[in-house]
Amino acid sequence: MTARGIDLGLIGCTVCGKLVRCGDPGARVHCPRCSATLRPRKPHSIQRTWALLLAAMILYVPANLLPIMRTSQFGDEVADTILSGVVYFLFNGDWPLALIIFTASVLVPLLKMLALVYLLVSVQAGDRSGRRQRTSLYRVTELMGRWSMVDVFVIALLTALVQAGSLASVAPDVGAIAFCAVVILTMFAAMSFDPRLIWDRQVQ
Amino acid sequence: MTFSAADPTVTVCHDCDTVQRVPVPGRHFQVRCVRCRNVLASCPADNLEALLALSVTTGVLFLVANLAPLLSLEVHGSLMSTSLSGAALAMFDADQRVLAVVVLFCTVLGPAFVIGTQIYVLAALHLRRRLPGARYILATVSHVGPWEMMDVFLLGTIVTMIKLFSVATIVPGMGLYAFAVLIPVFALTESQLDLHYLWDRMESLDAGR
Repeated sequence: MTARGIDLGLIGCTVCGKLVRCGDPGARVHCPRCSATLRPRKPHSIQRTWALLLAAMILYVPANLLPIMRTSQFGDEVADTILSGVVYFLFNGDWPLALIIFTASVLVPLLKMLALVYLLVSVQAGDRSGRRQRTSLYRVTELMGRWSMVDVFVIALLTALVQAGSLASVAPDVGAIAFCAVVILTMFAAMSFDPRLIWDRQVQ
Repeated sequence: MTFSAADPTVTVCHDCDTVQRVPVPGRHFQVRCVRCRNVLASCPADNLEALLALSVTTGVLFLVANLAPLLSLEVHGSLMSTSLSGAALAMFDADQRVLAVVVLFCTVLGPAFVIGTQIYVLAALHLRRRLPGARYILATVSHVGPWEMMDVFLLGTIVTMIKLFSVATIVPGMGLYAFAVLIPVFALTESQLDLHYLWDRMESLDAGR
C-alpha cells in the first residue's frame, strides 16, 4: 500500500519542489522557500476545469465557422476559415501543409477537449481502471495544447508581410479571436485539472 | 513507514500524490514514480557554467531574431519584411489588440522573460552572489513558462513561407537563421535545466554553503 501526501500531511511545492509539512489539509500554507501558496489539491479543480472547458467548446463553433482572416486583392475580398485554408492546400497539392494545419488547428483542440471530458467524467464516476494510462493522457494533453497556436502566428505573419500597397493585403478576422480564445481556455482548463484526483479513492 | 519533510530523499509525486523515497539518479537515468510512472528526478546537469553559456547564446540569438528581418516578401521590386516582434505589432496595426497582446506575449515577452531568468539566476549561482529579486523571478518563471511558444512560432514561420512561395518571392532573413538555431539551443538548455535543482542551489547559496 502506498501512502498519499495528503494523508501524511506532506505537500510538494509545485513551484520549487520543496517538501513541506502541513498538518491541517484545509489550512493555507506558504512555501518557506519560494512563498508559493501550497494546497494538497488544486482548489475546485473539477468545477473550474468544466467551466473553462465548456467555454472553450462554445467558442470552438465560431472559431471554425467564422472567417479567421480576410485577404483583399484588386478590390476583391476573400474570407478564409480554418477549414477553407486546409481545403485550399489539399487541392493545391500541398497535402503535408494541409495535414499540419488540420492537425494543429482542428484535431489537437478537439482531441484535447475530448480528453479533458473523459478525464473529468472518469474522475467524477470514481473509475479505478487504467489510472496510469489516464495520467499519461493528461500529461500529453497538457503538452500538446500550445501547438494549436500555429494558425494564429501564421495569420500574424501574413498580416505583417502582406500589406496594402503591395500585391494584396491580409487582415485578421473575428474567427481568429475565437480560435485564440479556444487555445488559451483549453490550456487553462488543462492547468486547473488535478491529475491526483485520478488516484484519489473518491472526489474531494 | 514514516517520512520526514526534512529528509531530502523523500518526494511526493505531483501527478498522483504518492510519497516515496527517491534515489539520486545516475548519469542519463531518470527516476520514475512507483505508481503513475511520472518522472520524479533526472540527473541534474550540475555543470552550471555550460548552462550559463547556452542561455547567453540563446539570449544573443533572441536579440538577433528580434532586430534582424525574419522574412521578406518581394513584390514588384519592393520589399516588405518583418522581424519576430513585427508579427505581433502588425496585429496592433490591424486593430486586433487582443490577438496582438497574446502574440506579443507568446513570442516576445514570455520568451524574453524565460531567457532573462535563465541568464540571471545561472549568473547568480556562477558568481556565488545573492542577486536581488532572483527568488521572485525564479518563482514567476514557472507560471510564464507554459506560455512561451517560440517553437510553435517557428512552425508558423515555415507554414507562412510555404504559403507565400507560390504567389511571391520570399526571402529568409538573418533573423530566421538566428531563430532556427535558437530553437534547438533553447530546447537543449530547457531539457538540462531543472528548476527544482536551481532552487536547491539557491537555498545552499543563501545558507552560505
